[in-house]
Amino acid sequence: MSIHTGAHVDRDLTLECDVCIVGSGAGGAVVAQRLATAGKSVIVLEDGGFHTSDTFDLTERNMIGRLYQERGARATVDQSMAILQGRAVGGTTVINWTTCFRTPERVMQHWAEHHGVEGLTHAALVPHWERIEQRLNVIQMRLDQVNRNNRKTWDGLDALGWHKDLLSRNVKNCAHTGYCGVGCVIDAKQSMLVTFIPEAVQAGAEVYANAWVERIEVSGRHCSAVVARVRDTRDRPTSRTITVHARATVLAGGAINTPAILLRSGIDPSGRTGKRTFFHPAVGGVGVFAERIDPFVGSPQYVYSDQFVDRGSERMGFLLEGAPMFPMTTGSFGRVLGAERQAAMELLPYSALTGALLHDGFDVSDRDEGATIALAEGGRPEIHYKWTERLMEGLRAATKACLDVQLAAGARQVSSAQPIYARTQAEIDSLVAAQSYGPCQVPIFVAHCMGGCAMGTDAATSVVDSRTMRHHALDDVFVIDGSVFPTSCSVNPQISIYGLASWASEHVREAVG
Amino acid sequence: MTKPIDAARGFSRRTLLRGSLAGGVLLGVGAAGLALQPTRRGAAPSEPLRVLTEDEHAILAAIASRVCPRAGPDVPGADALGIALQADRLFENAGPEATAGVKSALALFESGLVGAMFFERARPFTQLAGEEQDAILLAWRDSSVTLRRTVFRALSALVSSLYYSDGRTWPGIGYPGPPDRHALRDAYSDNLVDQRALAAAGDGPWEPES
Repeated sequence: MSIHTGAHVDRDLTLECDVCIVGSGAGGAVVAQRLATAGKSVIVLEDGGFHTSDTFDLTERNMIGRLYQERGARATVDQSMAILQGRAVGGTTVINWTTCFRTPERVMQHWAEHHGVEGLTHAALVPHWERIEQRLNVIQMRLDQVNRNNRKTWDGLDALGWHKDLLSRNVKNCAHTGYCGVGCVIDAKQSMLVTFIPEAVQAGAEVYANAWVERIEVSGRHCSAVVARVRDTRDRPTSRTITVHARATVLAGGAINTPAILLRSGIDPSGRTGKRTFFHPAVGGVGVFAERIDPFVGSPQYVYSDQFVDRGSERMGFLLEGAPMFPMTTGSFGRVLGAERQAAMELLPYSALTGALLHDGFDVSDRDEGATIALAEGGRPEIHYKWTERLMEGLRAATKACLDVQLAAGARQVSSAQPIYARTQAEIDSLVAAQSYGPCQVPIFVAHCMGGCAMGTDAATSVVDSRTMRHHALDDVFVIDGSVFPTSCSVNPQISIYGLASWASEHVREAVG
Repeated sequence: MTKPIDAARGFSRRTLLRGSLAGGVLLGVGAAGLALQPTRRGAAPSEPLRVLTEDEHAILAAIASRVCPRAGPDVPGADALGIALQADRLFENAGPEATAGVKSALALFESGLVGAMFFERARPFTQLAGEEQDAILLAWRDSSVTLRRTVFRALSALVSSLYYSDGRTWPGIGYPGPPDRHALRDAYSDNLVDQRALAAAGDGPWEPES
């Protein structure tokens, strides 16, 4: 009934339980809570450390190193996309920006029509979402709460006559400091670290942090063991292992990590494991204003627009959202040198940012859109994103929309993270037309990892059975995280994963009796 | 000095160049170039290196000093902040895969023969004058060869993220730093969930080094 860390695993451990859960983020924590409170014995293995909020110091340098995959350096192999993904007890929910959307009904219809998804429907998820949203205090923001940064996006959308709305967040008594991305120091964010993990532990779950699951061992159609290598609390490898024998195993390490576990275990009967991994590649438009905006003050996101969600089947849709700016991440995207870079950074307090999330995965003519996860030496995941004309057209259109919003909001000048400034609509058009949108030609960051273990009913084209989230080839192994999405989900995915996990935990419970 | 074979192995590990004719040529030329031309070392690191070699430190320091030079009387440059040494410390726990990739990128970028292949220069990057170095950096940024853009992206992001995450640079960009976390926790004490109470007996959560 507690959380263990690698510091005190001083020998190899062999453990038994009803359900072994790999990962403690949005998928794993919900399943752990559901099953532990139902009286099942639960062991959770978490690769990341156990970082309590009293140790969060609100700096990018320290907290990104502690709380993010690969210390914040996770990226596609060609470095074209920086991937921000959590690694801690609580997973990415510890460092996300608290934006909450349910999976759009049109997305789930697409999954049914084009990816053979049966069983998991929008209607089936609604009662689960309602429970989760109540527990996590998901509330829509008010216009009077919107910070100066997001207000510029709101005003720009309004001036253009585009769709706009206030988004919802899972916070309680929030101070609106804006530092969600480096861990909430006051536990206002209702992350898994302060909600479902404590509830699971209080109900009897045992959580092992610093436990990197190397592989699962199988015998026929069954998992005979889950094997983790223990790291110390400074994240250094040790020689110790934890081996868990469970009646059911839930893989919930998230997109990228879950397919990597299956690949390391040699489990890929359909050849689909790691394929079709999606990221919502994100670009942005920065507006520079006469007055201070302080885009690092106030919650990261308050407003959004679905104006360009549907651009027709031939083109990639995108969601517009306000987004924050901080020195380290902003600086890392700069593409100029010396005084020019510094001059651009000196505009930070006067800058506002509109971001766009590209909806990758909806090209029905291309079954292998998105990224493929492969294994590097040592078994670490290696991420290869397939660049397409469709993606590059989407990046161009999304960048232009972001710049349009900032200009319409009254920006003196706008840029797409490059110090090439436009001051008029015509200059925006020229700037966007002249820019190349290939790998490493525009800064792209990724905060949403989805796919790689696509669900469906056809074992030849999917990895997981969408009726139960059971692996097609293994009767007692379930995959319950964002990796099962057949496409990107087109919105910030945490609520989608919570709902999926709550729904799927009933199937796991049935499996263990 | 980075051994040529290490440079090649690092990139093949990342499969960055797998199947790429241009990449294969670059690797071969880069490796040979390293063997022939010395790296010019600037100021020695203020502390012993743990991951990078002295040559690799010098290459990274040269890049950092062009990407993030001293910006004003009160804003130190990358040299003064020891950004290359900070990177060395960062790599300590980064794992051999990531470290090998960075070492390979540094080796390729430094190589005069790689520069000659693109008709840009014959000398190592560290032997060039400042303005010449800027021109090389921008040539890699804007190259039609994805690998070169990748190397620019990786190295420039590394040094600039270290630079702008250093609190000594914040006054120069008008960033006040994060709010006082202790005051916040006092003001919002009703929110707080005692996560330490979840720790196993005799165990405890991760603690920052003092």
